[in-house]
Amino acid sequence: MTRYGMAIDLNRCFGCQTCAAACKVANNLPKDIVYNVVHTVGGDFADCASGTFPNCELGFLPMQCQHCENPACLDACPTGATQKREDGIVWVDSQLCIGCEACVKACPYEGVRSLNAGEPEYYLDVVVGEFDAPAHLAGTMEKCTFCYNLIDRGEVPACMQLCPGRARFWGDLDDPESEVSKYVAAHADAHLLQEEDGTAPKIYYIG
Amino acid sequence: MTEATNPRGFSRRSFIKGVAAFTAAGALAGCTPKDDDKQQVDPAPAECPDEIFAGACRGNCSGGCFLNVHARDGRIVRTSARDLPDTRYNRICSRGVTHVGRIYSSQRLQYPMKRVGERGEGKFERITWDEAIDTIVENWKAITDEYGPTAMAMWTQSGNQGMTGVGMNSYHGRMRNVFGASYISMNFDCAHIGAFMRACGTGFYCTGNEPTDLVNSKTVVCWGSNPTVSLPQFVHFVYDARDAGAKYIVIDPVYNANAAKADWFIPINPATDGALAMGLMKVFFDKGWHDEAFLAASTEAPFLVKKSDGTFLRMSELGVEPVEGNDPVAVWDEGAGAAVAFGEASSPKLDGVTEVNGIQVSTVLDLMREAVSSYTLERTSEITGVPVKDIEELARVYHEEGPVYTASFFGADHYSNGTYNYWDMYALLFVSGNMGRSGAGGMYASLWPFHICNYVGAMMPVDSAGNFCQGEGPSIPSNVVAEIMETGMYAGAPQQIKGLFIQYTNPMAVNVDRNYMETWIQKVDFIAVADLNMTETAKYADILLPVCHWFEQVEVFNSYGQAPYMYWNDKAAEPLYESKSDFEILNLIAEGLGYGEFTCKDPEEFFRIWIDEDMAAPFGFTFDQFKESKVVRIMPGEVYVHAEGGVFPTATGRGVLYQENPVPTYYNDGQMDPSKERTVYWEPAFEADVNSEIRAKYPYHVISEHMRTRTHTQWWECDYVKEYEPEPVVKINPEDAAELGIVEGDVVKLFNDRGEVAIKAVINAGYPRKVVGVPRSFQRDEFIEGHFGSLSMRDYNQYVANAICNDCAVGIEKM
Repeated sequence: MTRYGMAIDLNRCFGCQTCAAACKVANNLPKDIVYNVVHTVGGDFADCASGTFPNCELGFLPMQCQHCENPACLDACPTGATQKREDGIVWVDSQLCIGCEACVKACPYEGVRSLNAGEPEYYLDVVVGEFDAPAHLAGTMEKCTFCYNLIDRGEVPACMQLCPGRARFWGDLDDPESEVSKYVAAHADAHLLQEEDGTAPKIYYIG
Repeated sequence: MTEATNPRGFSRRSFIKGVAAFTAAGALAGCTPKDDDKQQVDPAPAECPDEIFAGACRGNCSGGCFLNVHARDGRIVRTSARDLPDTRYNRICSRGVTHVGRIYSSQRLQYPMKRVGERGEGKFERITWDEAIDTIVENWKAITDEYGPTAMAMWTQSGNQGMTGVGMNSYHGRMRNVFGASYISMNFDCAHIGAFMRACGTGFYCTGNEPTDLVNSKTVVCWGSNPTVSLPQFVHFVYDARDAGAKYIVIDPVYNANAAKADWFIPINPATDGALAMGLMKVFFDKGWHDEAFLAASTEAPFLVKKSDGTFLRMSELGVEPVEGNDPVAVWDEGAGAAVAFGEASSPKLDGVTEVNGIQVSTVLDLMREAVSSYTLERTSEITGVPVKDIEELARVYHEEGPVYTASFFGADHYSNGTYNYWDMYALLFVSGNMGRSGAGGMYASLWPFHICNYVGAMMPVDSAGNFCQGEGPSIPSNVVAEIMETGMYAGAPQQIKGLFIQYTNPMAVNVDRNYMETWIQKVDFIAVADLNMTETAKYADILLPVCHWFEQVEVFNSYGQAPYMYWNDKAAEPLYESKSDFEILNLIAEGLGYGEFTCKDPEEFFRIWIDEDMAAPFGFTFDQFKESKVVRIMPGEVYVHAEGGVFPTATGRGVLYQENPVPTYYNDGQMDPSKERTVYWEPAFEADVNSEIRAKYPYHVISEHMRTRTHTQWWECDYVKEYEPEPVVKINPEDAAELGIVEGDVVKLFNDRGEVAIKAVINAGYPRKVVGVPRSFQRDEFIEGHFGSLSMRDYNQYVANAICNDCAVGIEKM
């Protein structure tokens, strides 16, 4: 059985936002829709440190839907729009979604979903990204799809296409030979975010 | 799923096509059982209709990324990283993945225009290409006829580092030679580049070992660079080295994303890097750690210098007649017990040689020892802010924990003393023997592929009678243009600047001392600008030409990147609107000026001239093979090491530590003290130095930061990346902010005698007290008031023409 997951090595992530921007274009995302972004851990403003110079703290945390094995959003969804594929990818059927935000309330992770409150607005007057990028419909909730359109034709999610820091690893968590499985196995400090919430997320973080 | 779901009119057709394909994927759109996987039918993968072209991202960030350009229905829809032969070099960043935001930006210039408002105001009227070119040619001819060809200046920088753009020995350079135009030079980065060319010679990968060699380093020191922002493709090689056991040390005034990943962060007072290198060298000499074998065999350290006038002692002065004009410098050979030509000594003495044949002399090494003698641990610590024990430990690391790779770029360059900072750092690498071998070296790594270039063919075309073109006019520093316009003189000779043709650059936003530029650019008779979009500088054009995007033209990229390859860039889509490539524009002007016979009919003709197949033969490719494969390696060996074995591409084949006759790199009217330029030397920066007089009036030093999401100002028009760096800010230490009564988000004014700017403040504990940072790539309309570029000074160091944008003191007030 295929069970897609990721590993992100925070010792290698330096906050460049390539994964975030790649996602934005490949999925033809509207202005206010974010599937994936790199947060600064330190100061309040991007790329700024906290602490007292020179004893400072500055790190980065890429965040997106964790594609949980037991997604809290799944049961919370009143219309059946939130679904889980056989390969573990959690996705939202925009035809069924009514934008009620029940998934947001149920999800233990903050900031991994965006609501198309009204008609989506785009930066460009042309359609960009993959031909089968998700539809973006008014009144629906959107989030990371693990780019299932791409992986279903043998490619990798847009955020995985190339990480400059070589911080991101992708593949089938059930295949011990996959990149992600090998990286997780090789790093004793690989951990999941908020494991205590019991949703069994599938994005491992190292460091 | 109706047309109403698409808010964007003219793209409706392809939008609907996309939706249809999406629905056709079946299982993705609702067929997946909610709780029971068993019935799921695997969807047939949809076939992607996109065509993939090869592209080179080439805005001179020093990355140089090879991209897949995805096109559909004649339009570019996505860019992604393309495999390089060694996939460790695969590269892309937030800019590379958002090219569509540039290509389809609403700021894109669509047709030629003429100015109808004031210069800088941005009011234009559409004209035809014929009218635009005719107007440019008419003005160009009139200026040339009255004042000579050099009164027309071609102003350029780095906005398209391709062969037909402004890469090394580019078509732009060729046409400057054809037109005989002068060149306005902003002289960015020249202190470090000048220092490495003097110290190490100009290698085709400059002074760097290639990045795949970093895993052979025991220590990596990043000193004067923040690659996490300015060289993102380099960073993983550092982490790979770290994973292989190397220690990572960062020397920087600021605690940033790079410092945060260091095993050891050494904060240093800004622009005191050279002083640290001086202090480290003194430790080496005091402890006898200097690498005598390397210094004797591979550097000019044993060369003898006459005390009388500071020039080298040459063999002719010892009675040995020059052979074919070659009069070598003498060294003292202990084996022979005599002074001999440097190449002939079996055991050249490094120190203690004071007299030869009655001539008072010193070795270069002894002069260095004397020069560093005042840089005691205590004094070095006081200047640099680095504690004594840390200076001692860093010296030990350079001595014992090698090979040490030292990564630097331009962090210590943009100051009045930048040349000394780098000259001294190179000297330290020679003294510690950390150059010319695997795992060591570094400093400035960038591909300069003169080793496969037919320079004369590319740059100096001949007419039908076989005569060379006239050659370009003088290179004029941008900081003296007003004076030239006033006096009609430059470097003691008559010179006029009457017209400008600006391509590949946005000087009004990026150059130093903007208010100075404003005074003279308004007085120029005629200005033509060619650009992709409505930049700040474009608004100053009398005639404004729309240039097509990089992926709307064929191009070759091979210079100023860090990957060891040459790339082919396909034309992935037709030029949008009425835009044309800079290549076509230069040809149209050349035809109009009567220089048509010097043009190439298409870019490929120029590529075929440029790439010398005989010179390329050792790298195993012909032009046609390159065009077919779209990428070839153009560095020798599997892992290139600069000056391997300690043989440098300098006049003597040795690392240089002394200049007997230093000559300024620009015309500074004889105002130079040569004693500062001979061997290692350091002095404080004009304003960045904390003890400079100006700091009593303007207490803050402002560092202009590179940005993750813009290259110089390129990508200013790309809305995607504005999500990450939306507006200019000043980053202030929390205690400084408290003292100024500033909280995050307050609008503050930065000011000095040159100018002012109003921007938002953010709190960053990574900045030390009295040092602030401002991302540098914003344009006038993005500031609340004023312009960041108005704060920096236009002065140069006495020896090197070098823009010193970071040598800048300001006052700060809450508004």
